[in-house]
Amino acid sequence: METIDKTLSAFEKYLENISDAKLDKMLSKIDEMGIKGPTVDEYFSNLTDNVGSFFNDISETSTIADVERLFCDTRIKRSQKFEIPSLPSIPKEYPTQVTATQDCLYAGENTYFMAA
Amino acid sequence: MGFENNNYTTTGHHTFENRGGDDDKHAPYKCNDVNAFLGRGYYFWEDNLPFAKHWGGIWYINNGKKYFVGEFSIKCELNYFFDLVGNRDHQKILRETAKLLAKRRAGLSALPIGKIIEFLKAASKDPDDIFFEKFNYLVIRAADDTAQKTSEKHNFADNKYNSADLNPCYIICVVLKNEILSSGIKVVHTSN
Repeated sequence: METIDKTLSAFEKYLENISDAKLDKMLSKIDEMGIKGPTVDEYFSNLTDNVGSFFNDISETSTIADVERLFCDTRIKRSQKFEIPSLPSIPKEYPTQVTATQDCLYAGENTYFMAA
Repeated sequence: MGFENNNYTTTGHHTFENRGGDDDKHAPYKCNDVNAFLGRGYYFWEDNLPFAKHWGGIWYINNGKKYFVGEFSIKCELNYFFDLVGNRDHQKILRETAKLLAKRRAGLSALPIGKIIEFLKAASKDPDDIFFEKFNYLVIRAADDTAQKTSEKHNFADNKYNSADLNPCYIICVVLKNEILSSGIKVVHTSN
Protein backbone atom coordinates (compact mmCIF):
# COMPACT_ATOMS: atom_id res chain seq x y z
CA MET A 1 0.00 0.00 0.00
CA GLU A 2 1.09 3.55 -0.66
CA THR A 3 1.47 6.22 1.93
CA ILE A 4 -1.81 7.70 3.10
CA ASP A 5 -0.89 11.08 1.64
CA LYS A 6 -0.69 9.53 -1.83
CA THR A 7 -3.97 7.72 -1.26
CA LEU A 8 -5.71 10.90 -0.11
CA SER A 9 -4.21 12.92 -2.93
CA ALA A 10 -5.46 10.37 -5.46
CA PHE A 11 -8.91 10.44 -3.89
CA GLU A 12 -8.99 14.22 -4.00
CA LYS A 13 -8.05 14.20 -7.68
CA TYR A 14 -10.63 11.49 -8.30
CA LEU A 15 -13.35 13.66 -6.76
CA GLU A 16 -12.18 16.71 -8.72
CA ASN A 17 -12.35 14.82 -12.00
CA ILE A 18 -15.51 12.81 -11.54
CA SER A 19 -18.54 14.25 -13.32
CA ASP A 20 -21.69 15.16 -11.42
CA ALA A 21 -23.59 12.55 -13.40
CA LYS A 22 -21.15 9.78 -12.50
CA LEU A 23 -21.10 10.89 -8.86
CA ASP A 24 -24.90 10.84 -8.78
CA LYS A 25 -24.92 7.33 -10.23
CA MET A 26 -22.43 6.03 -7.66
CA LEU A 27 -24.30 7.62 -4.77
CA SER A 28 -27.60 6.29 -6.05
CA LYS A 29 -26.24 2.73 -6.10
CA ILE A 30 -24.89 3.12 -2.58
CA ASP A 31 -28.18 4.61 -1.37
CA GLU A 32 -30.00 1.56 -2.70
CA MET A 33 -28.04 -0.58 -0.24
CA GLY A 34 -29.86 1.18 2.59
CA ILE A 35 -26.77 1.29 4.77
CA LYS A 36 -27.19 3.21 8.01
CA GLY A 37 -24.94 3.53 11.03
CA PRO A 38 -22.71 6.18 12.53
CA THR A 39 -21.13 9.03 10.62
CA VAL A 40 -17.37 9.51 10.79
CA ASP A 41 -17.80 12.27 13.38
CA GLU A 42 -20.07 10.07 15.49
CA TYR A 43 -17.65 7.14 15.29
CA PHE A 44 -14.67 9.13 16.51
CA SER A 45 -16.65 11.02 19.14
CA ASN A 46 -17.79 7.66 20.53
CA LEU A 47 -14.17 6.54 20.70
CA THR A 48 -13.38 9.46 22.98
CA ASP A 49 -16.06 8.07 25.27
CA ASN A 50 -17.83 10.51 27.52
CA VAL A 51 -14.87 12.72 28.30
CA GLY A 52 -16.08 14.96 25.50
CA SER A 53 -19.55 15.05 26.93
CA PHE A 54 -18.10 15.97 30.32
CA PHE A 55 -16.52 19.06 28.82
CA ASN A 56 -19.46 19.84 26.56
CA ASP A 57 -21.83 19.81 29.50
CA ILE A 58 -19.94 22.63 31.20
CA SER A 59 -20.96 26.12 30.23
CA GLU A 60 -19.50 29.51 31.01
CA THR A 61 -21.91 29.89 33.89
CA SER A 62 -21.31 26.48 35.47
CA THR A 63 -20.74 26.60 39.19
CA ILE A 64 -18.30 24.46 41.12
CA ALA A 65 -21.25 22.37 42.25
CA ASP A 66 -22.30 21.80 38.60
CA VAL A 67 -18.79 20.70 37.65
CA GLU A 68 -18.52 18.45 40.69
CA ARG A 69 -21.84 16.79 39.85
CA LEU A 70 -20.85 16.26 36.18
CA PHE A 71 -17.42 15.00 37.17
CA CYS A 72 -19.00 12.56 39.58
CA ASP A 73 -21.62 11.45 37.00
CA THR A 74 -18.88 10.86 34.43
CA ARG A 75 -16.90 8.72 36.84
CA ILE A 76 -19.98 6.72 37.76
CA LYS A 77 -20.69 6.02 34.09
CA ARG A 78 -17.14 5.01 33.38
CA SER A 79 -16.31 3.01 36.45
CA GLN A 80 -19.48 0.86 36.24
CA LYS A 81 -18.99 -2.02 38.64
CA PHE A 82 -15.68 -0.75 39.98
CA GLU A 83 -15.23 1.26 43.10
CA ILE A 84 -15.32 4.99 42.60
CA PRO A 85 -12.52 6.81 44.39
CA SER A 86 -13.63 9.70 46.58
CA LEU A 87 -13.65 13.11 44.98
CA PRO A 88 -10.91 15.52 45.93
CA SER A 89 -11.94 18.42 48.10
CA ILE A 90 -12.52 21.80 46.52
CA PRO A 91 -10.04 24.43 47.68
CA LYS A 92 -11.78 27.26 49.52
CA GLU A 93 -10.05 29.96 47.53
CA TYR A 94 -11.80 28.98 44.30
CA PRO A 95 -14.75 31.16 43.35
CA THR A 96 -18.22 29.69 43.31
CA GLN A 97 -18.68 30.84 39.72
CA VAL A 98 -16.05 29.91 37.16
CA THR A 99 -15.37 30.52 33.53
CA ALA A 100 -14.70 27.13 32.03
CA THR A 101 -13.54 26.22 28.58
CA GLN A 102 -12.27 22.92 27.28
CA ASP A 103 -8.75 24.33 27.05
CA CYS A 104 -8.44 25.43 30.63
CA LEU A 105 -10.16 22.59 32.42
CA TYR A 106 -8.19 19.94 34.16
CA ALA A 107 -9.53 17.35 36.54
CA GLY A 108 -6.61 16.02 38.53
CA GLU A 109 -5.89 14.58 41.91
CA ASN A 110 -6.03 17.80 43.85
CA THR A 111 -7.04 20.37 41.30
CA TYR A 112 -10.23 21.02 39.47
CA PHE A 113 -9.06 23.85 37.28
CA MET A 114 -5.72 24.74 35.86
CA ALA A 115 -5.02 27.40 33.28
CA ALA A 116 -3.54 25.97 30.08
CA MET B 1 -3.27 -14.63 17.11
CA GLY B 2 -2.80 -10.95 16.46
CA PHE B 3 -0.15 -9.37 14.22
CA GLU B 4 2.43 -11.88 13.07
CA ASN B 5 4.43 -12.52 9.88
CA ASN B 6 2.72 -9.72 7.97
CA ASN B 7 -0.72 -11.15 8.77
CA TYR B 8 -3.47 -10.41 11.21
CA THR B 9 -5.15 -13.52 12.58
CA THR B 10 -8.08 -13.63 14.93
CA THR B 11 -11.31 -15.40 15.84
CA GLY B 12 -14.66 -14.14 14.59
CA HIS B 13 -18.08 -14.88 16.07
CA HIS B 14 -20.93 -14.75 13.57
CA THR B 15 -24.57 -14.71 14.71
CA PHE B 16 -27.14 -16.06 12.26
CA GLU B 17 -30.72 -17.29 12.21
CA ASN B 18 -31.57 -20.93 12.91
CA ARG B 19 -34.42 -21.67 10.52
CA GLY B 20 -34.46 -25.34 11.35
CA GLY B 21 -32.63 -26.56 8.27
CA ASP B 22 -28.94 -26.77 7.50
CA ASP B 23 -28.34 -23.06 8.03
CA ASP B 24 -24.99 -23.69 9.64
CA LYS B 25 -23.72 -25.37 6.44
CA HIS B 26 -24.07 -22.11 4.51
CA ALA B 27 -22.75 -19.69 7.12
CA PRO B 28 -21.43 -17.07 7.21
CA TYR B 29 -24.16 -14.99 5.60
CA LYS B 30 -23.46 -11.77 3.77
CA CYS B 31 -24.91 -8.59 5.19
CA ASN B 32 -26.33 -6.25 2.56
CA ASP B 33 -28.75 -4.22 4.59
CA VAL B 34 -29.01 -1.45 7.14
CA ASN B 35 -26.67 -3.29 9.49
CA ALA B 36 -23.76 -3.09 7.06
CA PHE B 37 -21.98 -0.53 9.23
CA LEU B 38 -18.69 -1.09 7.38
CA GLY B 39 -20.17 -1.76 3.96
CA ARG B 40 -21.28 -5.01 2.40
CA GLY B 41 -19.63 -8.15 3.65
CA TYR B 42 -19.63 -10.92 6.21
CA TYR B 43 -19.84 -9.63 9.76
CA PHE B 44 -18.19 -10.97 12.89
CA TRP B 45 -17.75 -9.90 16.49
CA GLU B 46 -14.05 -10.24 17.08
CA ASP B 47 -13.51 -13.00 19.66
CA ASN B 48 -16.61 -11.99 21.57
CA LEU B 49 -19.04 -14.86 22.13
CA PRO B 50 -20.90 -13.03 24.95
CA PHE B 51 -21.72 -10.13 22.67
CA ALA B 52 -22.59 -12.43 19.75
CA LYS B 53 -25.15 -14.08 22.06
CA HIS B 54 -26.38 -10.73 23.33
CA TRP B 55 -26.93 -9.57 19.76
CA GLY B 56 -28.67 -12.85 18.91
CA GLY B 57 -31.03 -12.26 21.82
CA ILE B 58 -31.92 -8.78 20.60
CA TRP B 59 -32.11 -9.52 16.90
CA TYR B 60 -33.62 -13.04 16.89
CA ILE B 61 -35.03 -14.09 20.29
CA ASN B 62 -36.87 -10.81 20.77
CA ASN B 63 -38.47 -11.42 17.37
CA GLY B 64 -39.53 -14.98 18.20
CA LYS B 65 -36.69 -16.61 16.26
CA LYS B 66 -33.77 -18.88 17.09
CA TYR B 67 -30.12 -18.39 16.27
CA PHE B 68 -26.68 -19.94 16.09
CA VAL B 69 -23.30 -18.44 16.83
CA GLY B 70 -20.58 -19.77 14.57
CA GLU B 71 -16.87 -19.39 15.23
CA PHE B 72 -14.43 -18.81 12.38
CA SER B 73 -10.70 -18.29 12.05
CA ILE B 74 -9.82 -15.11 10.21
CA LYS B 75 -6.46 -14.49 8.60
CA CYS B 76 -5.59 -11.44 6.51
CA GLU B 77 -2.43 -10.00 5.03
CA LEU B 78 -1.77 -6.60 6.59
CA ASN B 79 -1.84 -4.94 3.16
CA TYR B 80 -5.51 -5.87 2.93
CA PHE B 81 -6.48 -5.09 6.52
CA PHE B 82 -8.18 -1.71 7.06
CA ASP B 83 -8.03 -1.24 10.79
CA LEU B 84 -10.05 1.57 12.34
CA VAL B 85 -9.20 0.26 15.79
CA GLY B 86 -5.43 0.35 15.95
CA ASN B 87 -4.13 2.06 12.82
CA ARG B 88 -3.98 5.85 13.01
CA ASP B 89 -3.26 6.11 9.28
CA HIS B 90 -6.45 4.26 8.48
CA GLN B 91 -8.45 6.43 10.85
CA LYS B 92 -6.97 9.46 9.11
CA ILE B 93 -7.91 8.12 5.68
CA LEU B 94 -11.53 7.78 6.77
CA ARG B 95 -11.67 11.20 8.41
CA GLU B 96 -10.02 12.95 5.47
CA THR B 97 -12.06 11.18 2.78
CA ALA B 98 -15.21 12.20 4.66
CA LYS B 99 -14.01 15.81 4.54
CA LEU B 100 -13.15 15.57 0.84
CA LEU B 101 -16.58 14.17 0.03
CA ALA B 102 -18.21 17.00 1.99
CA LYS B 103 -16.03 19.48 0.10
CA ARG B 104 -17.07 17.98 -3.23
CA ARG B 105 -20.75 18.21 -2.40
CA ALA B 106 -22.35 19.78 0.67
CA GLY B 107 -24.99 17.05 0.89
CA LEU B 108 -22.28 14.46 1.55
CA SER B 109 -21.15 15.98 4.83
CA ALA B 110 -22.77 13.39 7.09
CA LEU B 111 -22.44 10.12 5.22
CA PRO B 112 -22.41 7.01 7.43
CA ILE B 113 -19.11 5.16 7.53
CA GLY B 114 -20.61 2.20 5.65
CA LYS B 115 -21.53 4.43 2.71
CA ILE B 116 -18.11 6.09 2.62
CA ILE B 117 -16.46 2.67 2.55
CA GLU B 118 -18.73 1.56 -0.29
CA PHE B 119 -17.88 4.78 -2.15
CA LEU B 120 -14.15 4.15 -1.69
CA LYS B 121 -14.57 0.57 -2.88
CA ALA B 122 -16.46 1.70 -5.97
CA ALA B 123 -13.94 4.44 -6.76
CA SER B 124 -11.14 1.91 -6.40
CA LYS B 125 -12.61 -0.47 -8.98
CA ASP B 126 -12.47 1.69 -12.07
CA PRO B 127 -9.23 0.98 -13.99
CA ASP B 128 -9.58 4.26 -15.89
CA ASP B 129 -9.47 6.36 -12.75
CA ILE B 130 -6.58 7.63 -10.65
CA PHE B 131 -7.96 5.95 -7.53
CA PHE B 132 -7.84 2.48 -9.09
CA GLU B 133 -6.93 -0.22 -6.53
CA LYS B 134 -6.26 2.35 -3.84
CA PHE B 135 -8.88 0.88 -1.53
CA ASN B 136 -8.88 -2.85 -2.08
CA TYR B 137 -9.08 -4.05 1.50
CA LEU B 138 -10.46 -7.47 2.30
CA VAL B 139 -11.01 -7.06 6.02
CA ILE B 140 -12.25 -3.93 7.81
CA ARG B 141 -12.27 -3.65 11.59
CA ALA B 142 -13.87 -1.03 13.82
CA ALA B 143 -14.76 -0.55 17.46
CA ASP B 144 -18.42 -0.34 18.37
CA ASP B 145 -18.18 1.92 21.35
CA THR B 146 -21.93 2.08 21.75
CA ALA B 147 -21.90 -1.65 22.57
CA GLN B 148 -21.43 -1.27 26.32
CA LYS B 149 -22.89 -4.65 27.26
CA THR B 150 -19.57 -6.46 27.60
CA SER B 151 -17.18 -3.56 28.07
CA GLU B 152 -15.01 -3.55 31.18
CA LYS B 153 -13.55 -0.17 31.94
CA HIS B 154 -10.70 -0.01 34.41
CA ASN B 155 -9.41 3.23 35.83
CA PHE B 156 -5.71 3.83 35.21
CA ALA B 157 -5.09 5.24 38.64
CA ASP B 158 -6.81 6.25 41.84
CA ASN B 159 -8.54 9.61 41.77
CA LYS B 160 -8.41 9.78 37.96
CA TYR B 161 -11.45 9.37 35.79
CA ASN B 162 -9.30 8.20 32.85
CA SER B 163 -9.84 4.54 32.07
CA ALA B 164 -9.20 1.80 29.54
CA ASP B 165 -11.78 -0.63 28.22
CA LEU B 166 -10.21 -4.06 28.60
CA ASN B 167 -13.03 -5.83 26.79
CA PRO B 168 -14.08 -3.58 23.90
CA CYS B 169 -16.47 -4.69 21.19
CA TYR B 170 -14.84 -4.93 17.76
CA ILE B 171 -16.73 -5.49 14.53
CA ILE B 172 -15.00 -7.21 11.64
CA CYS B 173 -16.32 -7.04 8.10
CA VAL B 174 -14.86 -9.61 5.71
CA VAL B 175 -15.32 -8.44 2.14
CA LEU B 176 -14.32 -11.69 0.38
CA LYS B 177 -14.76 -14.70 2.60
CA ASN B 178 -12.94 -17.33 0.55
CA GLU B 179 -9.62 -15.54 0.86
CA ILE B 180 -9.96 -14.71 4.53
CA LEU B 181 -11.72 -17.46 6.44
CA SER B 182 -9.02 -20.00 7.08
CA SER B 183 -11.23 -22.64 8.65
CA GLY B 184 -14.76 -23.97 8.48
CA ILE B 185 -17.49 -23.07 10.90
CA LYS B 186 -17.58 -24.33 14.45
CA VAL B 187 -21.02 -23.81 15.99
CA VAL B 188 -20.32 -22.62 19.53
CA HIS B 189 -23.83 -21.66 20.61
CA THR B 190 -27.36 -22.75 19.74
CA SER B 191 -30.22 -20.77 21.25
CA ASN B 192 -33.26 -22.48 22.75
